[in-house]
Amino acid sequence: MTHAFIALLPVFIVIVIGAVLRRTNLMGEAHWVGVDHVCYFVLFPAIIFKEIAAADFSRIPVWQMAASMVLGLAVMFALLLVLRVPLSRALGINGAQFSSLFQGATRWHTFIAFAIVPLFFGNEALALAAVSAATMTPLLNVVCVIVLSLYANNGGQRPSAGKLALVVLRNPFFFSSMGGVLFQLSGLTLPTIGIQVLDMIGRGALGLALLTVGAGLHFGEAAAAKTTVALATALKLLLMPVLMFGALKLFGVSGTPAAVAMLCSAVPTGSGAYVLARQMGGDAPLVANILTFQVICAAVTIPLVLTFLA
Amino acid sequence: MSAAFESLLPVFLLLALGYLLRWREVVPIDMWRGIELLGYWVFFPALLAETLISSDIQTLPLAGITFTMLASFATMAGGLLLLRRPILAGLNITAPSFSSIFQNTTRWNGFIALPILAKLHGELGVALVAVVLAVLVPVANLAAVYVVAQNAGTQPLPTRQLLYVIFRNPFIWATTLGLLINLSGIPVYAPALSTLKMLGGAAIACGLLMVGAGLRVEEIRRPSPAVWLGTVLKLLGMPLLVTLWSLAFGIEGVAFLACIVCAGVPTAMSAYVLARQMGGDAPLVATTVTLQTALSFITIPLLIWLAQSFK
Repeated sequence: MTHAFIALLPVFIVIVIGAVLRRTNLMGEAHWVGVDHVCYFVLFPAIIFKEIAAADFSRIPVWQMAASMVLGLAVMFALLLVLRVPLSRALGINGAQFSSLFQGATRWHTFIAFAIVPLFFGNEALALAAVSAATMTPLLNVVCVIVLSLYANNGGQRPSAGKLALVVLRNPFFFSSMGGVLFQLSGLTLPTIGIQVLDMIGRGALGLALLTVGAGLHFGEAAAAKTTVALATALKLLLMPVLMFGALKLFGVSGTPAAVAMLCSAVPTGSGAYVLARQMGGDAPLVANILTFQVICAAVTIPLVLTFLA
Repeated sequence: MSAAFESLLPVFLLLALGYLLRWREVVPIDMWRGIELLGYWVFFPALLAETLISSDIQTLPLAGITFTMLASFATMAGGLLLLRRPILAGLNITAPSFSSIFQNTTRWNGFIALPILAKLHGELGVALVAVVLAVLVPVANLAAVYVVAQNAGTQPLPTRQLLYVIFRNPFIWATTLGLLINLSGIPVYAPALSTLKMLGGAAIACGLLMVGAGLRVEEIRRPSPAVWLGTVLKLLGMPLLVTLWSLAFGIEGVAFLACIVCAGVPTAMSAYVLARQMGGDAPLVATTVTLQTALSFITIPLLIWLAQSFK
């Protein structure tokens, strides 16, 4: 546990540096928009494309991993939706707040997961994280958009199929992973130069991405709904990895692929949740609060999960 | 030659990618400022400090590198200042433009030199660039501020402010700190070192992308003689001087290669900022840097090939 905590320490120090930098004159709020943009639209798509395009899929149990992740998430989706009415009553929350709880308990922060994976499982394991991104991200996007449209304050509008498709397609994680899959299917091999360029970009992405995680943290907003924040955190950081563990066992995934899939399920919720909540009438400050609290708690729970895996 | 070119291709492709992203407005021009600030204040200093702390610099010919780089710099700077009048008359340019030629010729871009040496010699290459930075940055900055102020007719800065301009540079802090920790043998807490490593990992990609994004290829139509002078002196003149002085100081092998590359990379973007702030000819700097960068795709592999063949 201590060993895992110390190995993870740099990840959290870099996040804290990002949080501190945003509060300085040097790197104030306005400058981070561009940094986020570069990270989200250039650097991460490059890593995900490269990892999937160059992966040796004969040695990765792709289908079993994907099935486990879909099952693990589906159980969490079902649990939250079935218990929506009693939960909302017990916590005293409205539909918008429920949608934030839902996003907070199910989504994952790709930037954090991708930074941790090479520290514990080596650079090769990034291909496994990319498989997780290719599976979980489109599914989460579709389900979260539906949940927001059903329960958030948007006047009861149902998203059309076209809009749903657009949400999925416009996501850089989706088109970069699909690009990688198409490349794999085409039977071409990436030239060495291409791999080198994409690797250089990828190495740059991880530190930068963690800084943006820190810069995105908000402290002291919406201090109400404390129990909702706590519940979202417990569900995401503790229950989600447990569900994923069960699903992976069921589909017979073991070793590093299982460990990476579990880690991806055990990281805090994604910053995409905040953007979606703002766009679709969810409770965005609550999402920000949940993310911040989860990042702090993750300093303890992720070492716990990693120790359990070892 | 083609092997050297091929091994540097990723570096040049990242520069080109940065340019394309800005030009096609995938990342519009106002979105780069944050990356620039992080690169300059966080990623690059982290990489320099981490490399200097953890690499074996005692085996490097530190004195020889220092003398070679300082002597080459002094020769070029002194030569230009001596020939100031003929250059002004011959090229029919103004004093502010002369100050830009001075900057274009004497300054160098660590963001480009570092990835090249990292590619060629890994950690050792990075450490060598860090040493050259530690030696040259204070001197080159001081000279640039002085020459621009003299020629642009702006008030010379008071000494205190001059010191502030120079020592505000994060490269100087980072390299000094790294050297001190390394030479004094103070142990550094391992997670602190991996934090620096994680941040430093972003330096190369971000540095190259942002330098690429700063290029103004669309503005180069017919480069003026002043642009050509700054380009030829920088890309070929500086490396030639370094070669001569390295013979005098007995620098060879990897150290010589590092000196040649640092001398032969394009001018630093900070020259543009300084020219704009202090009344130099900023467009001349921007155009020259762009032409230098385009030509360096050929001249740097050529220099490396020559250095490896004849030394």
